[in-house]
Amino acid sequence: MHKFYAVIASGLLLVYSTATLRGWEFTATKRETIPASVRNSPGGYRSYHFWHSGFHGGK
Amino acid sequence: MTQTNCPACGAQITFQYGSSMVVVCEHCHSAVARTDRNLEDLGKVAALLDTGSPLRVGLDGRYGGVTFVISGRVQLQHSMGGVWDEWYAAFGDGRWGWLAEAQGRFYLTFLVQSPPDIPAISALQPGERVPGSLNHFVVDEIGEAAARSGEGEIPWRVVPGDRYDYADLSASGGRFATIDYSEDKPLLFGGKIVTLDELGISKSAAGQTTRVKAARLQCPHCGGPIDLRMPDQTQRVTCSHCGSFLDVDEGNLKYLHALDHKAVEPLIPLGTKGKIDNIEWTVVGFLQRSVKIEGEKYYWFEYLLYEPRSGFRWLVHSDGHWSFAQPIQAGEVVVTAKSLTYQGRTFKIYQGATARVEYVLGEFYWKVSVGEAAGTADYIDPPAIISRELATGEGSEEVAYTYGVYMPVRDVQDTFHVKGLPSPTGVAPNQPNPHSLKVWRDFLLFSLIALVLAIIFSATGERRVLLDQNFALEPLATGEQSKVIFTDPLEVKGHKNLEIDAEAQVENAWINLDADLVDEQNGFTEQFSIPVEYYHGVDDGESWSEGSSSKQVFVAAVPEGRYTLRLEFQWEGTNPPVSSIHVRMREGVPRFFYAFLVIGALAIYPFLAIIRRASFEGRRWNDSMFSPNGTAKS
Repeated sequence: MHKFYAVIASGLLLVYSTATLRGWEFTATKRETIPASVRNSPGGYRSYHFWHSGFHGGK
Repeated sequence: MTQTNCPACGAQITFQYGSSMVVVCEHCHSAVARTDRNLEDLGKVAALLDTGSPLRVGLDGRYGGVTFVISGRVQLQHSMGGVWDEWYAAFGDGRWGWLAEAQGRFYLTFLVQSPPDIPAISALQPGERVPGSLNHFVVDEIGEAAARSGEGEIPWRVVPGDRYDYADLSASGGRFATIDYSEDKPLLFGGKIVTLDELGISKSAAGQTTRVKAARLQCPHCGGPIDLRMPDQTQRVTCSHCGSFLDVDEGNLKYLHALDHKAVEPLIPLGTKGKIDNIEWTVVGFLQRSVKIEGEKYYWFEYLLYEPRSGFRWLVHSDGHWSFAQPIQAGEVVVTAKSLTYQGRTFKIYQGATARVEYVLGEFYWKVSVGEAAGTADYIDPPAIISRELATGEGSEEVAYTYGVYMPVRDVQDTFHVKGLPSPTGVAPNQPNPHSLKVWRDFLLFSLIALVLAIIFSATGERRVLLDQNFALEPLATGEQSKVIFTDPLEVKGHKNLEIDAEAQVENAWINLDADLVDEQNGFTEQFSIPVEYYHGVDDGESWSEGSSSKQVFVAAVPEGRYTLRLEFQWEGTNPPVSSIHVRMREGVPRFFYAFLVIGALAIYPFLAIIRRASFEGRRWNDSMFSPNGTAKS
């Protein structure tokens, strides 16, 4: 067995197992803390996507 | 047993075996034959040469369950000058065994019935199969031998000095045969290559060989001393003092010519000893050879190795690459136009040319000469190489095969205790490819582990449902950009990923969810979007579709807490494309996708190995006259 390959492969399997057990994901999301005062003010809160990209789908 | 008197000298001679034909008188060395009526003096034989054979007259053994005694021997001289022993074994069942000894090998044959179609010698070609019913044999050599000396009792009418033609044949499994053309109807002897152990002759009983003894002779040109390392075998030797090239004939040296250049020095000095497979070899000779291809000469070097009991081997050096080679029987090899098979392995044709001896140094067991040419062909199955050489000499034609194995330069240095050998350049024909594909075995192992882990994770995944709800969608009011809905509080345990599924039966439309998972206690917010779109139609008679009526996203684990999901729906126009949308959210959903991602990553290195291996093979075959499939390059 190639030692180098075995080390790399073992590392990959370790990362995979840890990711699954710890709930890691690699999808693009955004995390932030929004104070309740902002969230509760009428019209004071818009989603991140509203300001940044939004979705304008369609053909 | 018959006792009588030698017709030449009158001394007593004894025929111990009823079927022996000739006895060599111990006193006058006359070969005495017995006929139906009287004794016949066939003439005097020459003095026996000390061939250093471990065998001797009177030695007994057992072969095939039958005991035998060695009754005598004849020394035969090859037309090219070499001498070999042919011993005669009188078996207890009345048979005679012919035990030829050459270059450390023993060939035991018995007289067998010749087939009616036994071919004439002119019908044989070295390296080719024997025509007719002996087709399973390959012709090793066609030669001429002369009986020069003998001792003891001999089962055939040996006449000193008489010459006869013969053909040596070999077949798979060590089978060996000789066709003897000394009589009107050729005689066929069949048998095999045997070891002393197979003959029931122990090393102690066989007596100590004298071959290791060196002999000191004097150069006839300069008078300098010449020490022969294999005096019983040497046919040609060079003088280390004056560079003369000398012929060795029964212990006498004859000046042939001066070697015309001394530019080539062996990297491993003559006389150096090295142990390979527990046999200690001595470097006794050195050759520089060349082939001319497209007008350009390519050189390589061959070191002749010798060990008295094992015979000869070769150490071949070219461009810093080394191979250790040994002779093999032609009959073990099956040659086709593009390849060769040996012991179940296929060797691809690599090179074919006429090789020429450029320079010689040391001792040789044949009458080598500068300019000596042989048709050669190399076949490879790295790390092995088989070389086929077809040589024609005085009164003989011979095909010889050698089986070589690549020897790393470090091993050569360690074996022969030499330093500073040049580093290899380029790729040798039989150099092992360092880029092994065995890594694919490792890949399969680790991929299997990844799949097993994925199955275990999938089987033990919690998949706790946090939300499973239909949301009705109302048309947008004037000035409204989107519809916002808040879910009831969700209890998230944390440390597990989140899967969010949205399903809406959209048809050529889209609907987008901007989602915010908000921890009500501390304001921590995870923001993500879920676009659902599905389009389909027919263009130019072909139906097509794009997207799906459902969409799934995964979100990394969020801290444990009480969350609210804020969903903001958007669509094109005022009216929603569907009346409702179904959203499901689960915690702890293992994904096979990551296992396949890992497997994909694991495959990168093996794929690189394939590329590097192919590149190495490309460089190997760049120097070949043939492509790997055996076709000649234009």
